[in-house]
Amino acid sequence: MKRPLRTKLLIEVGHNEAIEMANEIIKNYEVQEIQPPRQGLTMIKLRESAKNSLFYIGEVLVTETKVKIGNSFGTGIVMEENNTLSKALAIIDAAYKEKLPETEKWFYVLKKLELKLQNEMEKVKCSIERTKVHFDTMKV
Amino acid sequence: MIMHSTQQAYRKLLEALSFPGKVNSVDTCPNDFSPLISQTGLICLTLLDSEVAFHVAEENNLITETLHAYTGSHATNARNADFIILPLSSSDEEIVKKINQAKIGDLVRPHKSATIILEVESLKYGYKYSLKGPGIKDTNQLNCTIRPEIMENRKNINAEYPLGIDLILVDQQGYVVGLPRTTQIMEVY
Amino acid sequence: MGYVAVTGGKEAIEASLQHLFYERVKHGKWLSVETIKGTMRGFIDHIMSESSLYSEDLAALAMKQSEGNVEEAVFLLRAHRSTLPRLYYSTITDPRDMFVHRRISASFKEIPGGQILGSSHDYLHRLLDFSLIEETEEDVWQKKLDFEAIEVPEGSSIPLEKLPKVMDYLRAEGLLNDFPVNDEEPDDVTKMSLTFPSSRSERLQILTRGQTGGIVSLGYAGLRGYGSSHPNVGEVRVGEQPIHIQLDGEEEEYYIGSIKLTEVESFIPANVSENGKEVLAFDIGYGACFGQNETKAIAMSILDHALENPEDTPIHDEEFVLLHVDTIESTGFISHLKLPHYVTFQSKLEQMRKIKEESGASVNE
Repeated sequence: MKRPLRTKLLIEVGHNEAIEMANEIIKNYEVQEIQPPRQGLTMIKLRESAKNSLFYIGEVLVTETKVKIGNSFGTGIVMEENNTLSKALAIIDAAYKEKLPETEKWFYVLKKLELKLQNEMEKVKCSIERTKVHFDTMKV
Repeated sequence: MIMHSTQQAYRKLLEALSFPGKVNSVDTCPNDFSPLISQTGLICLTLLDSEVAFHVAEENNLITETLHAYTGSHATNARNADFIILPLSSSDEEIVKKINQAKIGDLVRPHKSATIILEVESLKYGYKYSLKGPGIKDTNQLNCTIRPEIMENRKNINAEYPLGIDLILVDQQGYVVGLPRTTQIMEVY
Repeated sequence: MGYVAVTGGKEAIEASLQHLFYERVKHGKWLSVETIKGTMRGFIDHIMSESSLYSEDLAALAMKQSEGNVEEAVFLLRAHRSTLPRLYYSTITDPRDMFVHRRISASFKEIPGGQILGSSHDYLHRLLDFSLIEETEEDVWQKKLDFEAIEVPEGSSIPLEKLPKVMDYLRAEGLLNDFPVNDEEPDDVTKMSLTFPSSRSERLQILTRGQTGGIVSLGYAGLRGYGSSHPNVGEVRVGEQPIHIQLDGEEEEYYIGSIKLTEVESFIPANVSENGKEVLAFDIGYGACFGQNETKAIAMSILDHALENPEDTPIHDEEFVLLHVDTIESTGFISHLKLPHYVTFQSKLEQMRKIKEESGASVNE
C-alpha cells in the first residue's frame, strides 16, 4: 500500500490501530527518538484557477516526530497537537522503510481501515446528496 | 533540552563573529554527528532548519543524511547552499573548490551568501595570522593550521564588500573562531 | 521627532490586568475549549482565515482567552504562529481534489453534479430562535441523533471527492481566457515585506489573510462603482481539502490531514486578443480562504480581478487595497493612537496658543 493512502487511513480512521502498530514495534526493536514530538507549521501551497499560478494560503499547525530504527529514519506528521499519534506514525514510517516483517501483516489492518473510511465517506456523500437542488419549471 | 544547548551555542557564535579571531569554547553536542567534530554538530543544529539548504563535502551521504534528519534542512550542492560544511578530512583542493563555488550574495541582498563551517586541526598553533577589521581593536592574532593559500583564496572572494562569505572555524579541541567577510587577514612570518 | 520615556504605570497596569481577567470570570460561568470548538464554527473559521493559521484547537483557545474579541484572538494567533518553526511546505494543493460539502453556481443552473447546497445560513429566515435559550445538553444530543437517524438514499451518485468545475463549461465552449500552468514558486509576505509592484502570489496571500470586514467592504465598494469588476459567481465550493507533503529524498508523498476551504471563481467579461484579433471571453476572479467564509471569498475574487486590471480608482489600486486590509496592521496602527502622545500633543498645543496669541495681538493693534 502506498504511503499517501496508508498515512491517510491511519490519520482519518486509524488512531488506535496506529498506536497498536507502534507499540508492537517498540516491544521488539530499539527505537531511537531523533526529534521528540514538537509543534510546527506547514505552509500550504495552493493552485489558483484564474491564472493557474501558485500562492500560499496560510499555515497549518502540525506535530512532527522523527525516529530511527536500524538504519532507517521515520517521520510522523499530523495536524494539530497530537504527540502520541505523531510518534506512532513516525515509528510506523521507519518500520516500513526498514522493511520489518511486522509490516506485512499490517496490510490486512490497513485494508480494513480502507473499507471503514470508504463506508464513512459514502455515508457523508449520501447525506450531502439530499441537499442537491432538483429544479422544476413553474407553471405560468 | 537541546534548545538550551543551541541557544548557548548561538550566543557563542555571535561572540565569535563579533570579535573575529577570539577563541571561544562551545559545548559538545548531545547527538552523534561523527565523523564531524562534536561542536560542529551543535553548531549545525543551531544554524540549520527547514528554511535553509546545506552542503557537506563528503564521499558518502552519511553526515548529510544525519543532518537532514536532525534539522529538517535541505541538502543541496555547494553553489546553492546557505551553509557549507567542510569536515576535517577535506583536502585543501576541495576546500578551495567549495569556497570558490559558495554563494557570495548580490548587491541588493548581500546576506544571501553562504556561511562556511570549516573544521581545522587547531586554532591554537600553526600558521600565524594577523587580523584587522570591525570588531578588532588595532590587530588581533590568530594561530591556526589553515594553509595561507586558503586564506588568500578567501581574500579574493571577499574582495568586493559587501559581497562575500563568512567563515566559522572549529578545531579538534572544540574551539570556535569566527571570520566574517569584513576581517582582513595577513600572514605573519 | 524625539520620544521621551515616562515611567510610573507599572502598578496601574497590573491592577488593570487584574480587572481584565476578572471580566472573564465575574459571572462565575465557564466554557471549555472543547465546547467552543464544538459550537463556534463560524467564529473559528473567521479567525483561522484572518490569522492565516489553521488550527481549530488554537482558535478555540484564542476565543476563550480573548472573550470572543475577534481582533484580539487573531492577534494572539498571529503572535503564537511567529513562535513556531515552519517545518514543511505542502505539495501543490489543488481544490479540484476537494471533498466537496457544498457547491453552488449562480451562472449555470444545470451543472455536472448539480447545485449542492450543503450547509449554509443562506436559506434561513434570520429569526431569532428563542428556544435555544432553554436548550439543554440533552436537547443537543437528541437533535444530533434525530439528524443521524434521517434515512438517506443508498448509494451515492455524485463524485463529491472529484467534482468537475463549473469553469470547465466555459473552457469547453472556448469562452474562457485560459492560462498555461505556472509552477513558479510563490512569494511569501510573511518572509519578505511587500514592495510594489506586487506579484500575483503576494496579492492573493494578503487578500486571503485580510480582515473579513475590510475585504468585504472594499469588494462591495468595487461593485457599487468604485471599480469595474462586476462578476457573476461561477462557482462557490466549500469542503475538505486533503494536504500532502513531500519529504526530501523520498519518493512517496505523505498525507498530513485535511482542512476546510472555501473557493470562489467569479466570471468577468474581458477582451482577449486571439491571433491578433480582439475577442470576448471570460476572465476568472479568484477567491479562496481557510474555513467556510463565502462572503469573504467572493469579495476576494472581485478584488483579485480588480488588482489584475489596474485602473484609476481605489479598488484597482494595489497600494490602496493591499496596505489596508491586514487586520494586525490596521488594528495595530489605529490602536497605537491610544499610546501616550503627550509631548507631540503639547507641542501642537503650544503652537496653536502662540498663533492664537499673535493673531489676537494683531487684532488689538
